Amino acid sequence: MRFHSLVLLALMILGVSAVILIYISKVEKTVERKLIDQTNSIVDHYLDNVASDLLLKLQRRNLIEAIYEDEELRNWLEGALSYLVTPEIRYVYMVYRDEKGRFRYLVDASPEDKGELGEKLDVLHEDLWVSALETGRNVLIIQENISTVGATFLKPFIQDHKPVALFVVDFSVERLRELKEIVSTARVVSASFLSISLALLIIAIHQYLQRIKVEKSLYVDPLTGLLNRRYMLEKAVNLDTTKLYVALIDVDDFRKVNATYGEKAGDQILRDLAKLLRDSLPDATIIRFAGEEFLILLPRERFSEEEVITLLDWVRRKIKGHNFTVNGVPVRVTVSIGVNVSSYKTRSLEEAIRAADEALLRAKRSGKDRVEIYTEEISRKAKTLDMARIREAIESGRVVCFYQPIVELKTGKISHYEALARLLDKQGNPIPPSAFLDVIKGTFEYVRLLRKVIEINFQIAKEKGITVSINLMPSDLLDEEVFNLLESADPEVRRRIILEITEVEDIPKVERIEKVTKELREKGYSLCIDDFGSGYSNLLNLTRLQIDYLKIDGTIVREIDKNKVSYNLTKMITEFCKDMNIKVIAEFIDREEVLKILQDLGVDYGQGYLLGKPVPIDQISEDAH
Amino acid sequence: MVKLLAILISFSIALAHFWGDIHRSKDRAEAKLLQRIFSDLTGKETVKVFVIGSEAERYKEIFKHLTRKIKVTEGCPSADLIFLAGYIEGEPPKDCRGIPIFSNRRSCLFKWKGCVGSLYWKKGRPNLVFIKERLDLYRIDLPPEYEKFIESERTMLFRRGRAIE
Repeated sequence: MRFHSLVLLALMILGVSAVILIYISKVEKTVERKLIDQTNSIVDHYLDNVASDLLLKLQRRNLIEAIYEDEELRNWLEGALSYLVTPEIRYVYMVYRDEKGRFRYLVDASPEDKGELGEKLDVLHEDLWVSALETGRNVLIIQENISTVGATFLKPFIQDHKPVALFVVDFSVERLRELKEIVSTARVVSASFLSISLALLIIAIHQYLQRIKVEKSLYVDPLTGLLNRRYMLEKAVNLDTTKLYVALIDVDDFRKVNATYGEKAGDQILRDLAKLLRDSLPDATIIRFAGEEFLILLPRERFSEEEVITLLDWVRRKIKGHNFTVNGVPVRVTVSIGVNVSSYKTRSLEEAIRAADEALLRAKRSGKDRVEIYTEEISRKAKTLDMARIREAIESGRVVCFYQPIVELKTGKISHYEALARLLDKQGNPIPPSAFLDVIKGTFEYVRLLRKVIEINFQIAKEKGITVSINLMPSDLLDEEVFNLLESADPEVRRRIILEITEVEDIPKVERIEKVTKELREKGYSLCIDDFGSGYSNLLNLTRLQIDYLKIDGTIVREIDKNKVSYNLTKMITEFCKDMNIKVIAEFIDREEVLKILQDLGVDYGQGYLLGKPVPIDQISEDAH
Repeated sequence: MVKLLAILISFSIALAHFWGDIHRSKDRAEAKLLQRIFSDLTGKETVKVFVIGSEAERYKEIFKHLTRKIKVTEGCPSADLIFLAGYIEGEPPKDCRGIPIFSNRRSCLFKWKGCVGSLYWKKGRPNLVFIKERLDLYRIDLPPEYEKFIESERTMLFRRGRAIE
């Protein structure tokens, strides 16, 4: 049973039981009073007669003095009152109030528990007894606290227009016993219901606490005590991103920390880091997003964009300056932070996180230990994306490569193949890179895809014995993960892989790229510059990179038979490359005329639909190479 | 969950019976009254009481289960007070001399000169009475709220119409 329904049920029973209990009490009093009233009228009438006779017998004597002194009178009065004693009327007696205000017996006609003349009587509801004596009016008291007496009837005895004593009649509970038993049963039943409803409430509260406990164990990361990724997927996903800033914090080079100090030390650092984040960002929702990656959700209403950036940079500096002590040894770590300050423009938390992820990757690639901000321009681009599908395809292993032959133009033989990445949809249909590459560029998903493509081609090169070129962006070569993967390949495989570097004009840190390409060449990889001539190609960079191949951009090649600039440009590049001992590849060859001109210009290799379309690996003819 | 439910329901029924019966608990009320009276008589928070008489066993049980501050002693020497429950054959033990007696019978006030007061039930109502001269004898000074329950020995005898033996 759910918490709310259990509480509702308990409250219903509680309410009904309380009403029944109140109702029972009212009914009990009403019925009791009616039962007593019936008897009372007879008693009252009888006592009136006794009082008249008593006044006659007193003959102007004071009642109290006469009773004390006149034994005969006492006996007469006792006898007169004793006629009232029945199974329903248990005690009949007469009392007065002495000078100190204490009630004392005058006569007691009760068959048991007799009071002696002058004996003090402690009464319950004393105010009512006093009131009867002072006003001279009859009083009926329903006794709640006397087990043997159901009600007490007080009738003042008036002498010389003044009440001087009280006739007291205690009604037996016998008459009310049946009623009391029924009421008592009903009371027990109601009390049981009341108790059961309380029990249900306790169960509901117990269940609720259990649920909180279970939820806590479900949504809390046991290592850091922070919320976990499951919380993000199931709960935080419903958050309104328009009210949040989204940031990702990733520990720089955490693998090195693990490798140097061991995993236990790594865990200790993550624990301390989580505490530090909690202390530093009390207003934030902090989620352990991945191994050493933390998702921070900050309320937009509390901070301006500048304040959030300042705050996160302060956190970064705080972490950098913090000594994480592991086994008594101080360890310093740095973090990279990507923050999406435009999350109010995104449609979902996932989209907002992806933007932060993009900024984080930029922070990593720009040298780590920094805060990068997701920009508006990227946001616009992101609006057309379907990241979830791409991620799903990559995670489900629906990544393949199509292979387009690169032909030696002199002999017409296939030299090698360019691997072109494709994703497969759920039906197995290939999705071209134009549909996903721009979407994931700059995110970790891109790196995951690239890794997959490289791994596939290592396998192909090894198993098929063919040479394959793989497209890479310059920044990929600076990615530690990619570099480590390339480094890990068999020497034989390395010799069969050409790394085709695109967008050479965008190479940001040419010195570092130069160093990496040199290392890769030494390890056996061939290097190719892709799309040369498409933009502001930097010939100086070209000379510094020591490449093996240069691929002339298709937009130049395609017009070579019609456009003199294209022709001259191709001729110039080809001659330059021959001098530099670089093989030239022309792409986009889709007509015989174009092929002929390229052969005449001495271009080494050609690629295009005329020479061969991209096909799956199983469609490559064994004889072709 | 079923086990928890069963326990809770059993507890609830027991509690309901307790609620139903609590107002009838004469013993509980009496124990509470006696505890207060004993404490005021002796001026002690916890009172050591030697219980004698025909109803001694019953009251020992009541004091054991329903009070915390009445400690029943095995003999007189260590007792602060003697509680005479019901009647006794003969005299109280000799080593009880000098220790005030409190009783649950009014008649004991007339029978034993050492009896300083009594809490007894008459017509279903609790009645409390102390005898002033005997309180003075034991140098017992009761709080003012007891004033209405204190009778003088002379008044009691006069009302009763016969002398104490």
